[in-house]
Amino acid sequence: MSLNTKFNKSKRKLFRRHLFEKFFKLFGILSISFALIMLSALLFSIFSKGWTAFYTHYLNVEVSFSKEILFNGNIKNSYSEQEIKNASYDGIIAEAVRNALQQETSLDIDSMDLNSLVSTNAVAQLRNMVLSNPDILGTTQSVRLLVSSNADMFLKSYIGSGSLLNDDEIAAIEFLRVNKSIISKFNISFFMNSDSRYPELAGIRGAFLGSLYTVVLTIIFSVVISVGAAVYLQEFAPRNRFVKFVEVNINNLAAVPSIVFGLLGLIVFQQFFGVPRSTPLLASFILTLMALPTIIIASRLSMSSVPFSIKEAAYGMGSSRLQVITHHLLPISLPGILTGVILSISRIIGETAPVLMIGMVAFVSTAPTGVLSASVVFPVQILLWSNSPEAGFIEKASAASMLLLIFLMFINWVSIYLRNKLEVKF
Amino acid sequence: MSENKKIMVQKVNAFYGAKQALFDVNLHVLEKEVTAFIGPSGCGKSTFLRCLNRMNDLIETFSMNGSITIDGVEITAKDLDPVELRMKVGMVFQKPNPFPKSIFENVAYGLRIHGLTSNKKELEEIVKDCLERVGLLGEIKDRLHDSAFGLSGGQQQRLCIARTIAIEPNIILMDEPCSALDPIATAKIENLIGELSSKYTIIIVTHSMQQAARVSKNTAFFHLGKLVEFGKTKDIFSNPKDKKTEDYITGRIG
Amino acid sequence: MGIGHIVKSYDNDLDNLKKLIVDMMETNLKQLNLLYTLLSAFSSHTQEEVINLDTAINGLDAKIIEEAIKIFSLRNPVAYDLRFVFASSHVSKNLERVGDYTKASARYAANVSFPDNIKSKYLEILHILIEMLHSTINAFVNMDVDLAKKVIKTDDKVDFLYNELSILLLQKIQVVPEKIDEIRAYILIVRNFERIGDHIATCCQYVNFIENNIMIYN
Repeated sequence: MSLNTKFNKSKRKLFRRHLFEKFFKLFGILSISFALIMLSALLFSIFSKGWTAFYTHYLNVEVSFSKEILFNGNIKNSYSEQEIKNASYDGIIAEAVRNALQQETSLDIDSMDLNSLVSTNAVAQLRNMVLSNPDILGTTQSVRLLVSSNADMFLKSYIGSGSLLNDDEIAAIEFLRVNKSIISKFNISFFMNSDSRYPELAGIRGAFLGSLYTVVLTIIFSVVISVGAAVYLQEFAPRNRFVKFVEVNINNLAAVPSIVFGLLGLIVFQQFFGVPRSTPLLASFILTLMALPTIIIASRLSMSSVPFSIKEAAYGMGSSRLQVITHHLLPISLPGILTGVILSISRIIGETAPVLMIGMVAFVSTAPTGVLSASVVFPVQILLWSNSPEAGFIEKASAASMLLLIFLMFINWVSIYLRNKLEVKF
Repeated sequence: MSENKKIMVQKVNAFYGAKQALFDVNLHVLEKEVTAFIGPSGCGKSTFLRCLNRMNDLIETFSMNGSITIDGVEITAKDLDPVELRMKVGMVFQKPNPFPKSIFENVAYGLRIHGLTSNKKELEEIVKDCLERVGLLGEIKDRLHDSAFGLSGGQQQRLCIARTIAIEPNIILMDEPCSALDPIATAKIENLIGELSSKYTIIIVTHSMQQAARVSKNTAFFHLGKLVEFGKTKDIFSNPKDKKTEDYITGRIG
Repeated sequence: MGIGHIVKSYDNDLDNLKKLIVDMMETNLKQLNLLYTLLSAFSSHTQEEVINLDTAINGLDAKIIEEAIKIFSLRNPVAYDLRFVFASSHVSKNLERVGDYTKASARYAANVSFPDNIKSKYLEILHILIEMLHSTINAFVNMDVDLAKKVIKTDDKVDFLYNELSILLLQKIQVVPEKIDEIRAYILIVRNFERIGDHIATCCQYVNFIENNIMIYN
């Protein structure tokens, strides 16, 4: 073959090679764009629905604590605590709302259920006011009441007129909004309250604390166990068939469906060991099992990438095996171990199936006080809310998802930061 | 000068699994002299060097027989603690391998793990003295607490030597200490070896025959796991007794 | 040495150096042969040839030194190779002296007319020298230590003849003092022969040095 034909042949091929390269590049760009579009669609749907949960509406009214209405005409100077508790607060609320609507003449006030405009919580709020200071009986106070969920939904334009609110109620709400009796404010109760039957009162505190207890316990258990296992497998274990069998099975464990872990936890930890159900402790046992393989694999990988020369240097200086591990192997492989921990933790925070199995799906209206009190976790709370029929829970579910996402992003950021900070470059 | 035999080696055979790496090595190393091991790659010289501080224990398949005594103490005995042995027999490796810590901590490490100092002031003094002895203190005076990885290759290797002499071993093993360094750094290390030889027994494995000729007083030539020739360096390089040695040092086999 | 170096060009360098030495020895041999002719029957043409050959020898010497330095600096020779290169440069220097003495003898030859009995003695010494140099070439090419030692022994014969002849010539000065200039030339020539013998013997000592790492002096 002459040099010239050889050159021409390779030139034709070269053109095709470059063409393939361009196709491949284009394919990559398309894939990335697809992923980005999907991600932004997800984020948009969650954020657009969820952000409204962070504010809510209040009704400013003048409430007259009339003894006449409260105690059905039983007027005296002082009342027992029992009497105060049983007093009819609905009456003074209805009276206050009626007064607020007095100026709007087009309304047929008498036919309206005036209490449906404010939250059921308003009764408890007024009762607490009187209990803490009985002197206000007989006076008129300016009070800020939470509006009902339906009214809130209307104000956030989730619902129009229909089965939930009639035209009169809508007109009343419109009127109160225009004359600035209804105001919108940051919804602090979303963060301070636990779950509730009433959407306007439901908050994420219980789920947050439940997740926190669970995750902290899981981190403690899983790091201790898996780093120990990784160190043993990497440094001490003899290279025999049994150890290889263990290694293979650790990798298999990572592929086990999470519901199976839930089942295991239910049978072993709850039924056999008697760990109380629905508690963060039980959840953390199961989630530890799930976190183990990831952390063990990541830790071993990280440890095996510690240069042999460093270990050699340490042994050469007369370090014992444990000193080599604690002084050199672990500090150097720490970023890798952390990555494994954070990877598995961010998976565990979002894990729903196994915790459903151990009864964490129960309705718990109080925040957990410890690792042995019943609670829910974040993803289960989202599940519970999105399954609820009330319209007000939709935004709560989205907002909770938002917080979960933000929390995960924060954790990932921390992991990247720590990895860069602790990483040793050779 | 009375020749004090620091290390006596008799009939050492070494194996990696079923593969024999050393065949019947007999050798003695004289105290406070530099002994060089030369030979082509895979000839067993590094394996032999690592027998002297039981570094081969780290390799699971390794086994050996025969006798090695240091100051009359048998070091191949199973009940001898390699940790204790390595306090007496320091080692410097082929690639500079400082710990990922500060320069100061690198030198202080051995002192700390063996508990050789009683207070902070003493520790600081010994560290500075060791750095001074390897000629590093002047170069890095202000950077004592900076990462050791900021040093050049030659400085790192000298740091490794400082780290080794900090625990005051009797013997220093050097496994091709200059193979990763430039000629200037090599010259500095060679000079340092010369200075250290008045205090320590030094054994150096090297691929550079010129280096062996320059720094050592005695040279052992290994070939295919056998000790071919052992004698005064000047004899080995001007008039080797064995044909194989001659062929190797003149560049005819390798 | 039996086997070649791993670096083939190293072998080439050493071979080249050896070839230059042999070239130089052969040039010396040629020069000595011409001197023999010159002493047998003087001709100014031959004399000029002898003198010119010395220039060639000096050139070869310079070349050998250059080549030896090159090998020293680039190859770092050790052991046998070291001795060979080192010895080569010394042999070269010795041969250069041989060339000088040969040239000087040729110059003196113009001023003398040998009586036959003396001339035969001169030619005898010169013949021995030529034989010695011839053997030296063989010894050097084959690194033949025995032959080299033989040549060193032969030098004793040259010394003996030199002594004999110089006593004879000194006596002659006393007998015919008016011929002192001519006899001085005789003496100088024979002394040069003696020196040439020494230098050739030294070359053979280097052959022994290369092979056995020992210099033998007699």
